[in-house]
This record gives sequence, structure tokens and C-alpha cells, in this order.
Amino acid sequence: MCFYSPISSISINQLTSNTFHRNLQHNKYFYILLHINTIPNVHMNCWTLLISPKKDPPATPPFSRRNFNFNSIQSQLTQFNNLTTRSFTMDIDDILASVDHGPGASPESTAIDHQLLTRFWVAERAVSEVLPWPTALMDRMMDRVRSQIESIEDLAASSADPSTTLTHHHNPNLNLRLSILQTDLARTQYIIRSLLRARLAKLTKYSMHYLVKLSSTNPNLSQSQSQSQSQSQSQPTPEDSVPDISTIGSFDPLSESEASFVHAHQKLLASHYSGSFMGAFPRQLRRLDDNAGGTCMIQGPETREVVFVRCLGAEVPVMVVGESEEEEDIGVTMRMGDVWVVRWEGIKNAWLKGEVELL
Amino acid sequence: MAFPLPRGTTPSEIGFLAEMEMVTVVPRQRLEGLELLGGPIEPLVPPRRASLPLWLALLLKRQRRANIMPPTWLHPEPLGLILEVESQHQDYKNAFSPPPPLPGQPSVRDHDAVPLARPQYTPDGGRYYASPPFLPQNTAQENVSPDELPALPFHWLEIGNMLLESASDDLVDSDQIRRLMKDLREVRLAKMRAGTDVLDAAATGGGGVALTGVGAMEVGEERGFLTGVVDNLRKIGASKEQARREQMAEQRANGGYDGAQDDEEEDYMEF
Repeated sequence: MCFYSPISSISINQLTSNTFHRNLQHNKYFYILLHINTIPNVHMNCWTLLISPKKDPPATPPFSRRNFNFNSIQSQLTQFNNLTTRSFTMDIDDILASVDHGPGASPESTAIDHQLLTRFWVAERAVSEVLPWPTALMDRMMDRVRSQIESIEDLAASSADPSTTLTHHHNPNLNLRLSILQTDLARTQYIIRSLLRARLAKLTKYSMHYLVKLSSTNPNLSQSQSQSQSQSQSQPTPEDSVPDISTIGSFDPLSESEASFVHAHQKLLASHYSGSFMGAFPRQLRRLDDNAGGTCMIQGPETREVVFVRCLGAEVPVMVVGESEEEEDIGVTMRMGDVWVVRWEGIKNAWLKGEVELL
Repeated sequence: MAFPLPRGTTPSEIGFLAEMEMVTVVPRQRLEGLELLGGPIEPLVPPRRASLPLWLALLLKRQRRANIMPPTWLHPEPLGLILEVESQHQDYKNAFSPPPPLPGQPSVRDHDAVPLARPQYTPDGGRYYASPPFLPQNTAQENVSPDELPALPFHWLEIGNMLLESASDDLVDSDQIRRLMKDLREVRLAKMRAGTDVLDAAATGGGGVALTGVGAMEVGEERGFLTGVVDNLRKIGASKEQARREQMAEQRANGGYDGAQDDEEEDYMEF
């Protein structure tokens, strides 16, 4: 743990000085600290601006540029101190490597983000369940698409403007460049659109399953469900069986807008059912999540379906998933570079770790 | 209907993915570097070679702004060699010829070498292992070391077809290449069909069927049939699987577990 010591020598007082970022520019260790702390959140851009040894430092202190919140450094430092006291099992080589390939290298991270998005899209198309929404990745991609559209518009405006014929002469490739940029943009937009539509299709197909899943991950919700059950004693309607998701904090595996979409969709569907035929049913048969007789009415995606995977880690075992989650046996072992046809449930955890890729 | 397409990438989507492979071009005109959403592209200065994604290379080729250098494997000799391995070699009677190794993966010749996966890092700090179509498997390499066996990359069929269609004048002996590609495709298709016998292994939990060396289009072609067969086999064998699971649980409860019991893993076969 010796590599932490340089960090602790940086006091908070030092941080307050405006010139501190220059002192730190070459302090890799401090970078590591920031990097570790910012892995899960999106403050990355501020940090990159601060730390990355880019050509010339900005004329104004970077804090004022992106209304930088100083308290966040303090909180992150305290977070980090807590982190070090806990058992912290990150390989130092990993950390150093991630610094080298870290957010500072922006063109490279564009390429990696594009590759991640492509891989995620292929995976989403290959399995029958909705995969966890990669919030940070999608935020970055959407930002890039937005700024790319702006730069294309600027370029197109400069080519259309007759007063700038001089630059047009100067740059005969303008039309070619525009068409390349537009093709690239259209390709990325296609991936995003196809990804979102594939997710929507799964969500509408298994909407009840995902609503129940969302509500079961949140403990507060069991109360509201029992409330709705008590209400439904008087006059049960199919709408009552739609779980209320207005209070939940985590939308995993959906994004926030997907969650609100699926809730609104199911509400509409339930009221339609009740208006068209369920209203005429006996009371005890009006719920959409009925599981009388041991058969659950909610259909979920089939996780035992087979998928095509390529093994990317050195060795990845295929798990035999039992009835209960904890008892797991190991089946066949895949080696690096192999392509296998296996059950999705057997390699889902390896996929989450990025050790296999769906084809 | 939010999305009418079936599960798994369709052939046109596989073609779209193949267009992300990097190929080598010789530009005929200058073009400054561009920041694309798929990553930056280098400035084009004739006659210096450059690596570009295939879609861009084809776009430039159609406008006669660049020539595409054929990938190292897309020549008559390597293709003939691969065809020989696919059809004659004893080890690959029931398997596809080995694919090009991933970064850090030992080549087919040294079996004993331990694979050492070299991850890159995502901006979120996660590990990322590059794989096709984002590996330089289709660039024209200057000097190929003699140890390196020619291998068909993952998107061989799509790239071969696209180049034969749009850049056949850049290929060496395109008619011969076309013939070899057709033969390769038929040999491999026959193997894929013959492999249907062992699909039962993929229908059990923890089991699987190895398809190492398969191409993207071949996966797309076979996906519907294969997943359909395996799913039906799984449904037929569901009660058997349930019984075996109960038996295992019973054994575990009794505390005795001897290695002889897991012979179920042995009946998978590579093909």
C-alpha cells in the first residue's frame, strides 16, 4: 500500500491554491487517486481538464470554466480515505494502465466508447432479456453525437455561405469531408436507434416482469403494494396490480425514461383490459400478477436460451445455474479465442465482467 | 411494434459490423484527419498507406479517391492453404480452421503457452478486451513472418464479398479468389451441418458446443436453426435435467460427492 503515501501528503490547504493543478500535472499518484474516485461518476471531464498534461494550460483557472465544485474534491478525498481503510483489492498494474489509457487520452476513449457501444448493441440484440443500461457510456455517446451534429452544421453552413467562397477554394475537400462526417454520424445514430428499439420491444413484451423486478429491488415499495392491495379489497381493478414505481431510486436494469415508459405503458394496457373484458370477471381474477394455482401469470424472458459467445479472458467456465441462485456448479471451460454455443444464464456473470463477448 | 427484427443480428447488420474492420488503403488525394464518432482517422497523404474503416475505404474507392490494398489473407495462396487445412487436415475434419489469435493469445503451434489476455481500459475504469471487428486482422501486412499461418478472420465472408464486388481491380487474380472463397464456404457449410449431431450438449446446463473459427455470417445464418433445435431439445430434456439436479442436491446433502459422477461433461464434442 506504499503507493498511497504521496497522496496523503497533499493537504486540503494545498488544494485551495489556484496554481495547484500545475504542481499536480505530473503527479501520477494524485491522478490515480482522482481516477479511482471518479470511476463510477461523471465528474471525469472536470478532472481531465484539470490534470491532463494537454498543450497549454487554460488562461483562466479551470475551476471557473466548469463551475467546479470544490466541496466535491473534499468529499472525494474523504471518500478515498475511507476507501483505503477498507480492504482495497485493485491491482496496481491495472490502475497504472488505466491511467495511461484513462480519460486523458480523449481520441482513444472515443474509439473505445464506439467499440463498447457496438459490442453492447450486438449483445442486446442477441439475448432475450434487457441488459443493464450503461448510463455513463450512453451519456458520453449522446454528448458526442450532439457536438458532432453541431460541428457538421457549422461546416455545412460555411460551405453554403457564398461570402466564404475563399475558404471553399482553399478547401476543395469540404464536400467529401461533409459526406464522411455525415455517414459516420448516421452509422452511430443507427446503432443507438436500433439498440433503443430492441430494448423497447423487450420491455413491452415483458412489461409486467420488469415492473415487478423494479419494485422488488426497492424495499419501500412493498408497503405501497400492500396499500394498493388493501384498496383493491373494495373494488379491485387490473390497474391496481401494476406496481407503482414513482418512489424508487434505482432503475437497474432500465434507464429512467425506460422505466417511466414501461410504467405508463402497463397502466394504459391494464385500463384497456379492464374496460374491454376484465371488468366483467369475478373479483379475485382481476389482477394481472395473479399466481393462483402455482402458475405465475407474469411472463419473463427465457434466460436458458443459447447464445453464441467468444471467450476473451484467458479461461472462462460455464456455470450450471441451479434452481436457487447460490448453488452453482462449473460446466465446460472455454479458452481464450474460442467461440461456443452455451446457455445465456451460464455466462451472464462473465459477460458482465467483460470476459466474454456475444456474437 | 417497436422492433420487428428477430433475436440476433441479421445478415445486413452483420455486413454493417464488417464495415467497421480496418483495411489498408493507398490514397490518391490528400485529405486532412477527421474526428469521427468511431474514433479519429489519420490524414491521407498519397502515396503513404493508411488504415481506414472498410466503409470509408469503400466510399473513397467508389469515388476513385483511393485504392484498397487486399488483406493479407485475401490472396490466392493463403486461401488455397486454408482450403487445404479445412478439407484435408486430420485435426480439422470436424472443426473450422483456427481463427487469427486475439492479442495475447498464443498461436496454434505452441499449445503449451499460457494465454495472457491484455486488457485495455474503458473510461469508466472497466477492463476491455478488443475483438473483431476492432482488431487489425484485415490490413495488408508488409512482412508476414513465416511462422504465422494464414487464417480466416471473423468477418471473412463479408469482407471478401464486399471487396470482390467493389474493388476487384485491386485484388490479385480476383477470379481465382472468388473460386476459392466459394469452395471454402461450401466446405465450412458442410461442417456446420454435420455438427448438428452434437447439439444435445448445448441443451444441458453448463454444457456447450464449440464453434471456434466460425465466421460472423455463418453464425448469423445458423442462429435461427441452431437456437431452435437447442431450445426444443432443452424442453424435451427438461424433466431429465430436473431429475439430475435433484439427484445432485441429494448427493450434496449426503455429503458424498465423488468425481465419477460428473461424466456428463465428457460427452461434449468439438466439431
